[in-house]
Order: sequence, then C-alpha cells, then structure tokens
Amino acid sequence: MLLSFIRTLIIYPVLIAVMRLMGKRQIGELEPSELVVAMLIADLAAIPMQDAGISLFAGLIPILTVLALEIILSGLAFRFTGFRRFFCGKPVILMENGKILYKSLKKTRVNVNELLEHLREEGILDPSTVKYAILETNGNFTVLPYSKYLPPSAKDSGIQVNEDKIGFSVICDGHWQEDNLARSGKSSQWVLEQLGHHNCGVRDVLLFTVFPGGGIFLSRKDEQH
Amino acid sequence: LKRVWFAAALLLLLAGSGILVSGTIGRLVDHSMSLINDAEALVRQDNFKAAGTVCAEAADHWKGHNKTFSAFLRHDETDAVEISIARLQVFADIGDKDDFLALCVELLEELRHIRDMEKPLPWNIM
Repeated sequence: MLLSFIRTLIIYPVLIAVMRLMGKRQIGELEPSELVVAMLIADLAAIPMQDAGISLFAGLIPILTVLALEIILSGLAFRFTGFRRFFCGKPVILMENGKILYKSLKKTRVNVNELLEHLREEGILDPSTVKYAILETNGNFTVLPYSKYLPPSAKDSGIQVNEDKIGFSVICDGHWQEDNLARSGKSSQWVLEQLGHHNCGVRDVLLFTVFPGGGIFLSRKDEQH
Repeated sequence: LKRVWFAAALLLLLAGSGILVSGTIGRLVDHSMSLINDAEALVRQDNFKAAGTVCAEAADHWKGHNKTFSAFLRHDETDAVEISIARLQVFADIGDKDDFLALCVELLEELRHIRDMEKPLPWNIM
C-alpha cells in the first residue's frame, strides 16, 4: 500500500513532465495534466478489476493519490502564475501579422503543412490574412484573421436582431424537471393546461419546453415520423 | 481552496495509512516468521509434536489475520503462505524432517519477501 502510494507520487509528476516535453502536438483538447490523469486512472482502475488476485486497495490507493495530487497541483497552478506555466505550459504564437514565426514552429515542432491544414480548417486559404495563429496549451489552434477579413456582425451592419432566448425543458421523458419549471416562471398548473390542449398526459411527454414569452415545444413519445 | 486542503488531507491520510499498513504487515509477518523459526528449531531437536503445535499456532495466526493480509497483499502470496504452513503441519505430523526443514527455508524466504516488499525502501520503489 505504501509502495503504491510512493510510486504514484513519483510516476504522476514524471508523466506530466513527459507529456509537457512531448509538446502540445500530442495533446488535443486536454491539458497535459488532465491527459495524464485520464490515462492513469483508466489503467489503474482496470488492473484490480481484471485481476481478482490483486487487492482492491492496490488500485484504489494510486487512484486516490492521483486525485489528491491533481487537486493540489491544479490549486497551485491557479494560485501561482509561474507554477501554472510549468504545469500547463503557455500558448505559443505561430503566426503574427500575416507572418509565420519559424522559431515558434520549430519550438513546438508543428510543420508548415500542419499549420496550413489548421488554417484551412478555419476556412482561411490565404495566410497573409491571419493576424494571429496561436497554439493553445491544450493543443488546439486559435486562428484570428485581421478584422477586415472577419464576417460583419449584426452590430457592424447596424441590424437590430432579437436576442436568442433559452427554453426550459420542464418535462423530460415523462418526468417533471422541477428546477427548470421554477426557472421558466410557469406553474405546473399552466403546464398541465397546455398539455390538456394537446390531449396529452405528463407520462406521454418526451420533451416539453417552455420559452420566455410563453411559447412551447411539445414532443410526444407516441409521435410517429 | 477547500478542495486543495481536502486533497492535502487525503494525501496525508493515504501516507499515514500506508505507513500504518506497512508497519502492521511487517509486525504480523515477523510474528509468523518467529513461529516458523521456533518450529524449525524444534524439528532439528526431533521434537515433532511440539513443532506441530507451533505450526498449528502459526496457521491460526495467519488465518486470524487473513483479512488484513488479503486486503493489502497479493492474494496468491497470502494463499501460498497458508498452503505452506498447512504442509509444514503435515510434515511435522508424519515426522518428515528433511521435507519439513526444506519447506521451512522456502516459507521463511516467502515471508521475508512479503515483509520486505512492504517496506518503502528505494530498491522496492524502483
């Protein structure tokens, strides 16, 4: 048990360091530490599950140790900027003012083709239109074209648009969603009346959504295509 | 911040539990080893009856703490010790000195391995 604990204390930071050294290219969506936690916990949980000869504690101790380390390290990363840089890395600018920064590409080991691929994914065919291309700490690319190449917003065009309003699903799969009902500002009585108009009971409802202003969306379980 | 303190407390709890378990396992295994050593000495004096009694005591001790062993050690290791102690009892009953002594060496080595593997020593960690 103590050995599992100490080994986890050693392996966890080593794995994070390895992921950081591998660079952002290997990550994608997750921060290095998050990826390490996901990898470790999946493996640690599988071992005692597969082998009944191994004590359950042999799996639980490292999982709890990883959990505690992750919370402590992410707490430190939140509190201290320097530690955050070490723990999560920092974003790297790959393109600035339409120019590709070769040193940054070399540092992050992202080749030009990959960079162009990411630009194309963002719908950009001409690199000179890019103000900034940034490789984020989670391995994602953020591409910001010059403002003049951005599509105009409603504000730019001086158009008045109505704000999108979110609906509240008050009945899902025949069950009341009490929190959403309270947020919708409607009473259950009002909802039942609406259902009555559609000859429908609560149990028959697949989804009943109330929109601000009183609009509703009703989908019944017995609805056919 | 509460979560960080909780995590720090959890880490301390795990470290404390680890030390406690390591110490407990070491103490229990040491006691088993001392009983086996006693039985071995008795057999060398051809006192098989007394050796059988000591072996029975060792078996009771091991079985009595089986839950603790099974919770923290590999089950195949604890089972192997239990089987070896039972075999020792048989050898003592039939007065088979050579097999008894050979198995004693084997069992003591097994127990030493179990005890030492629980110690947080650099060569165990690596």
